[in-house]
Amino acid sequence: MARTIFITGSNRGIGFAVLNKFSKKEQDSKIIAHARIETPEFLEKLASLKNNNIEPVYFDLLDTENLKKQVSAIIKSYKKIDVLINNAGVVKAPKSFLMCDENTLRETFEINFFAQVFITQLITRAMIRNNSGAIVNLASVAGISGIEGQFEYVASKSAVIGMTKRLAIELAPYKIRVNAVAPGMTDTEMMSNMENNLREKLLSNSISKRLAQPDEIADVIYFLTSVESSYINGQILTVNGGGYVF
Amino acid sequence: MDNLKKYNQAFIDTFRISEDQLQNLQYQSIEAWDSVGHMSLIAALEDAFDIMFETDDIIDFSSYQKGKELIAKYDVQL
Repeated sequence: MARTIFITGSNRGIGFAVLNKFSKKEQDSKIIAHARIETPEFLEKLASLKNNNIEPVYFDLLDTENLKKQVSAIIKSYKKIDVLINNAGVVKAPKSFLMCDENTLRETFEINFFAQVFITQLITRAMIRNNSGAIVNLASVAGISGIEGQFEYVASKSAVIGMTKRLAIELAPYKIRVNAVAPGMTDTEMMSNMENNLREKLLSNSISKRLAQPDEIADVIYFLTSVESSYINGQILTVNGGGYVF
Repeated sequence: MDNLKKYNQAFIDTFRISEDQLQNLQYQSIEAWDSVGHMSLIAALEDAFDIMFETDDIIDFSSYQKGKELIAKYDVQL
């Protein structure tokens, strides 16, 4: 069945892996691929997907007013949105809680949490109209167990987890499922913000002893939007290769 | 169908009520107009008039009469 899918932060990392997954599996579906700005690299990646049903959209998640305008325009244009992947996120350089400045804290929450809230608030209105939908939020194992030196990231991802659970309850009457994926350490650019000694420590304590590939996370996200996961709702699915022992 | 009829019909269809119940109808004054019914009503009105309500207006939409005021902001004359 052809669907309309909206993916935020689809230009790199897990987001691009998700875009790639949907692009290959759903040739007839419309895919709205968000990125902050148009870049030659993103356009090149889109061209490589060889899927004419992808529409790139560009807006900054820090500009809430414009975000609302853009998402409203998408809803007006498509009417029906079946799937929302709230992927876009940011992780800043590690600092201890006492060294965490207000700007870093606010910006991280703006992108990792508030932008997702506002996008979801609008997109669910299109889903309510069709009495169906699947939302997958990108949480993180950091939001469950905490991680050294990234207070604002941990806190924002915990907020995403709370949002997921609450929305699953609130949107169930409209047959909209809301789940989250909590990836462990994944081989993306974001990892470059993790200090090497912390990365080595976490890897050595992990069962799989390796990073996840973005495609392995995308597989789980795709599954959570499919009919095969129709009875999974309000869950935080940890995808961390078997876990870490702190 | 004129706009007032379309406006009324959205309430009648969403809440399965009769036209004579509309004038004093308020949010949560009947079982069907709960938070779930509220969003269904908003969707019905958006479809009927091809508009998109601001979130603040969805929150303020507390009665049949108040809705008439709010919908005027979207160039819908009832």
